[in-house]
Amino acid sequence: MKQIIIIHILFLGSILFSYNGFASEPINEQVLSFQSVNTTDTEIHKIIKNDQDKSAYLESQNRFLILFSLSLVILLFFSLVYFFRFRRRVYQFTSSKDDAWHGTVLEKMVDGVITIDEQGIIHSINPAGEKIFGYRPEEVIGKNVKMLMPSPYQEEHDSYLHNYLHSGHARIIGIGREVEGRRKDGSTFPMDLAVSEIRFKDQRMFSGMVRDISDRVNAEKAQQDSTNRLQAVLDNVVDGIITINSKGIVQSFNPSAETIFGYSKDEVIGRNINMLMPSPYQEEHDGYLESYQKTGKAHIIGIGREVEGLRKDGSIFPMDLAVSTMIIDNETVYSGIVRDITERKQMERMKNEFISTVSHELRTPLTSIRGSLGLVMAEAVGKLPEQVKDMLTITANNTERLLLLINDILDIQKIESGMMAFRFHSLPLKSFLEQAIQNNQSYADQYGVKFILKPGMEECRVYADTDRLMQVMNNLMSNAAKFSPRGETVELHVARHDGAIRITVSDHGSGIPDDFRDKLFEKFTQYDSTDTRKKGGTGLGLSITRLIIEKHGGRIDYFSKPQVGTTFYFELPELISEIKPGELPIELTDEHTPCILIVEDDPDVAAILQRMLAESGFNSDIAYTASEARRLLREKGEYYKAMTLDIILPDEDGIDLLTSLRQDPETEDLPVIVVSIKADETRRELNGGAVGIVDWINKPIDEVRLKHIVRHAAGPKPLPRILHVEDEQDIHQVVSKMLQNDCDLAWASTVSASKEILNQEEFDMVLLDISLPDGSGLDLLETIERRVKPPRVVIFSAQNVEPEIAKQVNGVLLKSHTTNDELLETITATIDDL
Amino acid sequence: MQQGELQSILVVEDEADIRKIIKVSLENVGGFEVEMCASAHEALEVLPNRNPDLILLDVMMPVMDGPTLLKEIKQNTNSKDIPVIFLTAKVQSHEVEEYMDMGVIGVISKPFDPVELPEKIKHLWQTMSPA
Repeated sequence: MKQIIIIHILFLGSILFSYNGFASEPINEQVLSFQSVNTTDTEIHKIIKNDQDKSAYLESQNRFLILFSLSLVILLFFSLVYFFRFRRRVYQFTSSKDDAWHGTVLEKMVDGVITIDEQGIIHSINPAGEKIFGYRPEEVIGKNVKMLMPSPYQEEHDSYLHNYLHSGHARIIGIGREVEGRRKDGSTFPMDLAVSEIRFKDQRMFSGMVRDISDRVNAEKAQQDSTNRLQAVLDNVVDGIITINSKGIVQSFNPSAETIFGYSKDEVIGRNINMLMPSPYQEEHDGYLESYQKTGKAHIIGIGREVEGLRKDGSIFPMDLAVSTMIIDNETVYSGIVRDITERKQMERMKNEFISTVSHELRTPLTSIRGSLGLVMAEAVGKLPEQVKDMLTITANNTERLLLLINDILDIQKIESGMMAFRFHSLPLKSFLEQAIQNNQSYADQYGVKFILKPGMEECRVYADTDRLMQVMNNLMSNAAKFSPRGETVELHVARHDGAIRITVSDHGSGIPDDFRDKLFEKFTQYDSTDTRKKGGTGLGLSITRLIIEKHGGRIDYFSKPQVGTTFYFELPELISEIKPGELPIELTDEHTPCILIVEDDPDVAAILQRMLAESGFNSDIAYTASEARRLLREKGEYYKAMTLDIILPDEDGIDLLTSLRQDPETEDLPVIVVSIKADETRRELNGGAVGIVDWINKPIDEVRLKHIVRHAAGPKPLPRILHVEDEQDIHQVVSKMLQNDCDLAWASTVSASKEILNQEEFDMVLLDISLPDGSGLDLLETIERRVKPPRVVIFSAQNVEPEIAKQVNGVLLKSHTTNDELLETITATIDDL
Repeated sequence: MQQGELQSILVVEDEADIRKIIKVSLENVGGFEVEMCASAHEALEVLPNRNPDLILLDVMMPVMDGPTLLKEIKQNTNSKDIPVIFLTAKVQSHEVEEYMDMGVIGVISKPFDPVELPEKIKHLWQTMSPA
């Protein structure tokens, strides 16, 4: 471009030179040709024409003018070329020196930039702007900017601009806001618009910076849609969904929760979630939440279980509860999904009752059929023809099968519904297994199979229900016999495995294929259904077996190798007893020996407990039933320092007993230690120490733990705890020495430290100094008063105390007037009756 | 008491079908003399006139159940020495213990196999401890 200009200047220079007298070439034709195309030079041409007859000087002047105009035309031509070439890249009104630079910036900007004048006429638009609106520059430049706006902005823009120019009142200018734009194709889109006023050569202009925000708005809309959808789900889901914070305060409560609990969300949000729980959950929930946050030990979180809910009308209902933890904005939030399962429970109960009734009703006639058939088959009522006998055999076999099936269904239903009472005793395995072999040998004889008890740990004892465990043995042994080749043996064996007693039943049959493993313990499952007819059985045996073993706190499984055999095993907790039943425990005769009440129906276990307690220095009485326990507690309740409690008692559930003891003022504070095979299970069910249980011990009993717990629960009272608030270490040391044997002394030297410790720990008494480095000790009186069990207060200070305050505390001593003895006496008197 | 041959049995059972089965079982298979009663009251009426060697008594009966009848039998000097066997569907070991504590010589579980019933009764009769 520069080159063109230079050439042009040179050309212009040569024309000027010729005007000063140098010879010039005739160029009329060229001038004429130019004249015809350029109308701007017409006048000059006319002048030339009119002055044709004038002097030579004038003629030469004319020639100069022609040449000059020619040069101007050329200059104009190149200027235009230059201008348009430039405009094709950046359409901009201004023509300052920074054009080129501005051009590149504008060109590269992602935001569209449009300039308009005071009338709203577009003067420039950059490539981004073209792209945003879909117009080519020549389509918009010179037109009113409102073409880029949809209604109603389009109609309003002129008056708005006018208004601004006159009043200075701006809605967009200098602010930037979200508006709508209109593309060439008529579509509208959201855009960010920032308008600023610029002055160019005394002219007022506006530049608008435009950003298409369709994507962002769409994203926001999508987000909003998804939030709305979620909210709709929350609002319409049949499950109640409740969120609480770490303090147990309800933060959200969906409509289903409102329906389930009968509260509106306004009645619940902001209040403690425990309002939705019946006792004892209600009282325990805060502590539970706290302990979860401290220890991470969860009863419900992440598990999901059946609990009880409390409706607004006071009714209690069963519900499924699943709780999960979330961290939102660094805060722990718990969400609980609640489902009212009243109906399901009812259905379950009805189903179980139905099954139970039907089964009973079927069993009675079947029993008679079997009985009479048996007699007919035994020819007790007359000789039978061979064919009749054959037919009756089929009838008899199927009657037998039907009866077995019904009995199994009844068993399962009873165990699952908790209707089957388990009576646990200490069971010596040797005689038990010998009995099992005796019971099953005649059955095994049909298959030519012999049972053998291999020597092992059979001298052990387990804690079990003999009948139920025999049912397990019958099942495993008959299975083993059924699936053994003729002439083989089935071995029983007892071993200790991972601290439990493992009883195995091994056969040498064809084994169980691996793909059957998952189904084996399910109901109505048989390894080979084509085998069923041959082998008999209901398909319920192993599921009953598993249920029984689980009720014993044990587990059952098997390993199998094709063509080698299968070994079923179950494991039960070992019962360790060093004393033989009947052997008397150590007698403690001292009448001051603290006594423990043992509530335990199994004499062996009771004897073990008695011995353990005797070794720890406790006397004990044994109650074998709940009613016996009640009687003993009624007669000499004061006498017992603690009670151990078995949950499974012959006449009453242990927890029911405990609940009623807790309602009796005589026994409400009695420390109770649950010692039961069901300890863990019950503890879970009760949601943790529900009825004020000191501790839980599983059977078999951990001796060290039991002794520790009983000593702790029934031991002598702990020393009184005193907080000494005193800033002078010397005084504290004197007091500390004085009280060292009688008290458990803590020390705080400032008001703030005292407040902290008072809020965290329980004290029986506070010995209070008044002038402390950070304030008056009297400020602590309020903190003390707010404690659940406010400690007693003795002021021990150099200052005199107002009578008003002296009335509030248990004692006031002046440091300068008090001897050590007097101090000790006052403190002792204050805490004496604790 | 004298451990002679078991000959006569008094059966108390409220269900007619079961009664018939027991009758056939004890008469045809066991070869005993059998007296059948459909209720405890009937048994109390019959007992003074009979002196059976043994009583087979159903536990679950309407109006008066087996254990109550047993008490009556034991309170009567004429009948107190007659051995009694309970027939019951409740045969968990603790239940059996409870029955034994009431003074029966044995418990036979229901449902029973009528073909084997006479043998079971004979076995209990022979092994009972002399009163």
